[in-house]
Amino acid sequence: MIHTIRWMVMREPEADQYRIGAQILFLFLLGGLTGGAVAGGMVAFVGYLLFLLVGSHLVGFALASSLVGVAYIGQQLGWWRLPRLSLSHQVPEAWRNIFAPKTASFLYSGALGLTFFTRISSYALYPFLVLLLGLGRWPWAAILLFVIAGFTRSATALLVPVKRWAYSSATVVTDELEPFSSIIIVTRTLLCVAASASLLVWVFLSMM
Amino acid sequence: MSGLGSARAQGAPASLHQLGMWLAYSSLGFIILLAVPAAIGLPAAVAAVAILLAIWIGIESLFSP
Repeated sequence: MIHTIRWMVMREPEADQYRIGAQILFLFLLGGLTGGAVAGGMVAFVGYLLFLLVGSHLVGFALASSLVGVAYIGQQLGWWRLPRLSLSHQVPEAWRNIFAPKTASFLYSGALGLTFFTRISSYALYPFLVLLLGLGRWPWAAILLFVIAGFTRSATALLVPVKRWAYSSATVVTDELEPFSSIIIVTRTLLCVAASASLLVWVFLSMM
Repeated sequence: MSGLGSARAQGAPASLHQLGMWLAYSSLGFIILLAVPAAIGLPAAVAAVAILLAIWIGIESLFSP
């Protein structure tokens, strides 16, 4: 993602890089937001259908979400292997050549915002998805929550101007991110533990 | 004087001040985000967990291969 933005900005004439770079970033953010809204709309639609069919069972979905979170914590700790529910392909890089830079930026980020239609490594996606399916009574909340995920995903691109990564080589960018990988794994596990525990407590309190 | 103001007055590193400001703004943003689902009737505890997961999914993609 970072390399794609860098590549699109750097291929422009030097005099235009700042202006084009700002436009590419803006459309990247807009694309993430739009993609998140579309993905959220799909999940909200399925959730709404479930709500119409069986009524609102948020407690049950929260419990299921918590259990899914625990299951993927087990995978993270190497206890067992579970399937990845997201599609395995990445956003095609060829889009950068087929479309104009601003269009490519919007489409690329929009595809990222669709979340589970691209390769995604975050185990948090699974409990998140199960929980959102239980929000059929509040479809706008499900859309909003996916917008947050899609927008945050695209907003990480703001690090490009902040860290001046447009002018760094791909190796430098990778080297700068590498030290954080162990922190990310620990944080991911702790977040899933906290989310699962919080939902279990909420389920328990709701049933009392 | 308390908190961040005190830390800065006592010569705390600028990065500590920046971290504090970042945390303060993040907390404010989180509360604002939380207000929207809560306003339409979604239980706040569920909304809080979902928002945290949503933000984390976004952040973690930066470190995806």
